[in-house]
Amino acid sequence: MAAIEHVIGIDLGTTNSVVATVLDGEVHVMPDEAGARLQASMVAFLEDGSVVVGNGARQEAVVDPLNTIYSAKRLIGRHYTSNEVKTALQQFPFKLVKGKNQVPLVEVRGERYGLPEISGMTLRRMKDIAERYLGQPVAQAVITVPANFNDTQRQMTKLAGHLAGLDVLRVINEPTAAALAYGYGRDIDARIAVYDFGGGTFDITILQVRGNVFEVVSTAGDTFLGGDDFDNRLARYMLLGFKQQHGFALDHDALAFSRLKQVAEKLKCELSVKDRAIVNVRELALDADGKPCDLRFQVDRASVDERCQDIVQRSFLVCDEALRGARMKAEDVDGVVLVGGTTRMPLVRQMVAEYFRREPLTDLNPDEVVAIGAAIQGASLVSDPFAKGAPAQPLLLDVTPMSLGVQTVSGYFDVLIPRNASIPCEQTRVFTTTVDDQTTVRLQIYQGESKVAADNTKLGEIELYGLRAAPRGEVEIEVVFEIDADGMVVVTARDRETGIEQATRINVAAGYSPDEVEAMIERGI
Amino acid sequence: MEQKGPSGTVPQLGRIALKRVAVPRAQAAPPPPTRNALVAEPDKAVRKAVAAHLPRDRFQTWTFEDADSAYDHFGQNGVDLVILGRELPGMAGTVLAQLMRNSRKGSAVAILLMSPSYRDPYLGAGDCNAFGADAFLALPAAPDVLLARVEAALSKREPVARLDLLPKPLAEEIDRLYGDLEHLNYYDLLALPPDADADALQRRFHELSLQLHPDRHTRLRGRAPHVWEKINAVYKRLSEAYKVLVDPPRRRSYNLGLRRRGKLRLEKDPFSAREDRELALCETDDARRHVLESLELRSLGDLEGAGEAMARALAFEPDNEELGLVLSSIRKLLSIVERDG
Ligand SMILES: Nc1ncnc2c1ncn2[C@@H]1O[C@H](COP(=O)(O)OP(=O)(O)OP(=O)(O)O)[C@@H](O)[C@H]1O
Ligand SMILES: [Mg+2]
Repeated sequence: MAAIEHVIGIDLGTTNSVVATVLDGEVHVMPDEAGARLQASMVAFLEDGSVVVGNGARQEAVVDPLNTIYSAKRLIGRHYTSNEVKTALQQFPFKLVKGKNQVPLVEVRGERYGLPEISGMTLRRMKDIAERYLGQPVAQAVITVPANFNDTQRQMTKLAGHLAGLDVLRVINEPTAAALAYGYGRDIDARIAVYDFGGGTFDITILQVRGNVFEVVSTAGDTFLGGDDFDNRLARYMLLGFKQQHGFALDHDALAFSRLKQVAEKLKCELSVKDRAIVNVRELALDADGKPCDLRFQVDRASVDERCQDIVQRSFLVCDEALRGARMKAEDVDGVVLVGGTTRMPLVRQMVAEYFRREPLTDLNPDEVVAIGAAIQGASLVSDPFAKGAPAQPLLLDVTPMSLGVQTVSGYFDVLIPRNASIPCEQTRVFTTTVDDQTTVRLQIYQGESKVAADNTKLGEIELYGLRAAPRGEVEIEVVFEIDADGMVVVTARDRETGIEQATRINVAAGYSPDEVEAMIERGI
Repeated sequence: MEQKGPSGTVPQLGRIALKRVAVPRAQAAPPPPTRNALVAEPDKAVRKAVAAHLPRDRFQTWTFEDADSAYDHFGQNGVDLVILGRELPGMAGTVLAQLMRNSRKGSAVAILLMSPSYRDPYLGAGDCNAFGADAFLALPAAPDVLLARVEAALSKREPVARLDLLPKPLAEEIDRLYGDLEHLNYYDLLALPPDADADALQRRFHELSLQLHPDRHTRLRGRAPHVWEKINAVYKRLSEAYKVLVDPPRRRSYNLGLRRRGKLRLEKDPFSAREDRELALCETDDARRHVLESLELRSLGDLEGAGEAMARALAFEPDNEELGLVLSSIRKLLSIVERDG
């Protein structure tokens, strides 16, 4: 008998990644050679041309920040002009440049890399860890992404897996994976909310779990709400302390602020386990006489909590929205699952408990729960549930997090597939020519919730070309917009009259041409 | 009506004479069941040649010159394979194909469309199923190309139950639903009564999903792509039905269309024609904003809300008569709906 093929589940995180698999019906989170179950999502390019990926790259980030890449997930699939890239340009020590088609590229030691290549290196590292643990090659994987990743971000994540030599069976949403990890095998009938507060984003997902079926009822998120906001708030609090201590303000000193932010993050984590904390920041700034000034800062949790309540409160606006989408009230939820580092904060836990009027579930390790769910889903995708004696497998019924649509003539956003539509799904629309003998029709495709197309994220442009020459309105092109099980958009078109599959050219914004992908594969990672 | 068996001597298919090509025949395999084939094509040479090349031991073939007699025969007999010319007296082959496909027994029949020349726009369409056709054949063509296209078309319509890939009852359920996809309303599709509540809908949908979600059948994707496609088509429709019925405003609007116009699916109006027209009537951004809201509410079936939004738009442009007309037509529609319950 051939060796059993294992499917691995990878939680590709902004800061850390985890890999797991199902062995003999049990989920294993796989440690590396040093026993670490979490790997830093970091890639260090050393002077001798070698590349270190994972926890080994961590110390390089300190000694050689210019050549150590992190937070690739914040940038993957984004336009060069997006807010995320703008922020990264200011904050990240490594270099970002603009590539073709608005794609941001990382420039390191004279070479340029696409973000899928950087993430691909992390994925390759996770694959290696799994192969070492299992003692056999691994080819198939399920990779998780935040629920509110759009089509481009998903495509690029899949490409990263491909570059790492993985056949990506499925891209699944992190909160859905977490729910699976909690609910699988427990035979429950309950409505579960997954509250996922990470480093840079917040997601809430509401599921109905019945036995082996995990149906996502609605999902909502805020891509500009995360642990970072607490760090910023705390750093500003520290600036206030500095002013009290030294009698002058540091408000416009960017360097001092970015140092304070790092200190603030440590302080925040400390306050999750202690009631008060003290920090000493040496030589934060120079005073009017050029004398270096230190900051000695002492805080207690209660006063920080008071200053940060509104940040947590913002997450509940998003929860309200998701509950509305599910036609539910907060108290209808039977269980709340916490995911993401920020949910370690006692303030968050307490406010979540008040909002949902119940204590959140915390019995699984929040760092590992996403990878565990991915591994369970992976095993289920390669099993035959109809074979005799097959164990019951879970089934995920997920939804699309954003509305998909096209721009109308007047610049508005015409929704084709609304958010929270269950996937896979499709919608057919008929488009027609507006002038005589028109031979091309262009469709601008967007994802988002604004009624004005330009305020949404542009996925790309589809050009239907080589149309029959005919009086206007006579050529009717039927376009099928599909969102597949990965949450990715597939568009096909045909001429209604002749039935020909209509030629389409899709120009993916912030994407790569087939030639560029080919070149990446050629180069290898 | 002429009934012809293969003569075996016509080395010609299409308008140009072709070199005769040996037709490979299956050797050891058990003989497949005899199928009923129907060929409709006005050009006698083509018609005869096509009929002649359908192996006699596998097909019983009827040939027709025109659309009407072909359609009559189709309606009265069990037909497994239909081969249609592009232009038929009485009706275009494309139209006939659609008619047949949309008829009650249309889902099980394999349809092959022939096109007379390489310049025909069908060319390149490959296996795309426009007009419900399963395959295309560009003429002239060698006989083995004809047979290959016939096989491609037949395999697409092969009942899942005959393939022994899935438990029999499940395979039969897939065949049944796929066959009736264009004939069932959302309630019948889910096998639920019209007053089913959200809980019943969800339970039923979960039951069906465990059987029919594509993720339960991933191994068929490469092994039996036609079955995989059928499962996908069925599942997408089931989930469409569920998502509409579980959402009260959309369910209301669906019920209305079903009752008044027999519409089996909830469809949005064709792209933006009305939307752009109404927006173009506005002179101010404020009015435009409310008109947009009104359009959105209408697409959700909320006529009352749509009327209110339109009234707000009108408040910004009280002299805009055309907007006023739109508002009164919404109100009229609303009163009809209210009267009918
Ligand atoms: N003990 C703690 N107390 C408070 N905050 C914490 C604690 N530990 C981690 N965090 C915060 O959690 C955030 C990182 O969360 P997490 O590791 O879940 O994100 P990630 O998985 O990298 O991001 P994503 O899931 O969005 O890709 C950071 O803002 C970090 O400061
Ligand atoms: Mg994470």
